[in-house]
Amino acid sequence: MQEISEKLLEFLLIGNKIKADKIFNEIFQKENPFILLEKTLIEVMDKVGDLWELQEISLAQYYLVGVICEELFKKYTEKTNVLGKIQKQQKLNLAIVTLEDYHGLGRKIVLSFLNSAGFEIKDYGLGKTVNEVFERSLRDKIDILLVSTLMLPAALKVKELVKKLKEKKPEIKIVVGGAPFRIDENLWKEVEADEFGETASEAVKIVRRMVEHEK
Amino acid sequence: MKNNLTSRERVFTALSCREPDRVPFFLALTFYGAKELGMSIKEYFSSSKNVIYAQKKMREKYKHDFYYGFYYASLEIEAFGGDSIFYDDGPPNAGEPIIKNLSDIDNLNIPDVKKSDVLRKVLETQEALKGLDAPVIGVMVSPFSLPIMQMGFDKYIELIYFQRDYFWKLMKKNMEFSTTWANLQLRAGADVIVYFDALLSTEMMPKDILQETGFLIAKEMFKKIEGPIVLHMASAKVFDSVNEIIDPKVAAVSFSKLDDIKKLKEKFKGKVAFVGNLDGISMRKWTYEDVEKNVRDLIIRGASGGGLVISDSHGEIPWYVSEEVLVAISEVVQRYGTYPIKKVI
Repeated sequence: MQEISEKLLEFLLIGNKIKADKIFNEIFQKENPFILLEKTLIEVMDKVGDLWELQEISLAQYYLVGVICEELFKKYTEKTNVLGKIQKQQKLNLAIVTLEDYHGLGRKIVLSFLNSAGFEIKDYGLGKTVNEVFERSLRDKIDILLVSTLMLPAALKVKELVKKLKEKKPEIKIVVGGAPFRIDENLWKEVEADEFGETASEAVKIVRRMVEHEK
Repeated sequence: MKNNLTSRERVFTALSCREPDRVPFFLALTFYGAKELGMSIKEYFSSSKNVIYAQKKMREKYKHDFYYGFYYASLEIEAFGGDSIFYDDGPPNAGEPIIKNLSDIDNLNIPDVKKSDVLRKVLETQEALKGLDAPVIGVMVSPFSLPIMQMGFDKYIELIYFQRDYFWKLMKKNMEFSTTWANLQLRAGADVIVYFDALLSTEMMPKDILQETGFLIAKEMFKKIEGPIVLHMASAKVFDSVNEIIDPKVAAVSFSKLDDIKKLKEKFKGKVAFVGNLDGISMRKWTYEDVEKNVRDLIIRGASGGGLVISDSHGEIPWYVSEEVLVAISEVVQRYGTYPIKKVI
């Protein structure tokens, strides 16, 4: 891991936005800052994913890393037009939703990681029913739908959503995440999702793989 | 060999870290009562009569050792003026956050618990079930975890990290509410108060932040609650938190699938009992053999010396767990849970 990534991670994990901002500023003083930024954020997010899986960081820290990175990524990329250029290369339409239940933290973490990685993704919010997500996904021509749930009943409803969507658009990919899927390792297969992202970092890898495959 | 004790005697012996006649067990049957009575969850919780009747019926059916005077967590948000969203097959969730910006904290009114219609149902339930042969469990959401529902988990994390002064303003109000709520339940008939605080786990918040916030609040609340306490961290890991909150008033702590009961009992031998750690999500697919394996393993690893109450790790049995599995749990506990515990079965 680069020294700059280690320093950034250290500040993110204690929620120190000011020092994290200084690191971003340092990156943007260099030549080809976006290449360095992408490399740094990938390293940070991968490391955070590992730390989370090893239970070496807490959920609050996982959230803070994502949300601070997202805020700073937006701040620094809006100064140039680069974000628009990055997102134009993304040929697939992405959306994320918390299905049925009202626990939105997991979705927020994944969304912030994806935004920090430069992806354009529609946020359908939380507490959405199967029908609402189905209709919106078709209307928005979504190619990759990320579904987060905390409650078991909500997780089980993914099966109905998958069935409805794949009948209309067989090529759509549905990636699930959330506590029920982590606790019951086979649940994602039971609900016939395409992939399971155990962590936000993994969700980013899955999306990146799918988007790259499409290029 | 001890004679058969009442559930009340069994539970309090186990909580004192002594061996009763057999390991007590607790089925956290909340909205499951609606299934028992064949009504919607919303209808079920609309009247204490439904809950009282179902609690007695389910105790008779499953022969577990408690009455559960808990409805659902977002009931407390209703007392604050918020609402709950009801589902057909799961616990009610809190609706829109009641705190959307910092001024909402300044303007937040502390509910008058004694005059709250929604909370009264819980007190009626506890009054009706008190003094019987099984202890009555009362539950409160800790003042430290309540803001997850009051403002959303994401905004609450940001409040803790970036607006500590407003965090403490909110805590002061929540602590006043929660103290009154806990003590009214004890007076109504609850034998023990479950202090529900998922955020106290180092899985949720880093230890150094908890030492400045949640642990301090918990210790202060333990002084104010006028009865025995069970600390419950939902399905989160507890091992790294227990040492920080051990208190003479805390009779037991929940433990999860991520904890090892053997290590917990070795580390905290005799100081506190443990409640857990069956996984409610997997339970819906358990065969009888799975029940036998999971419950028997737990007994072998953790029951010696008392100090264990078998339970699910979250505090609510999911709707999709079958009655057959619950009956099986009861049978297996009774078959293998008699003291002295046979290590090789």
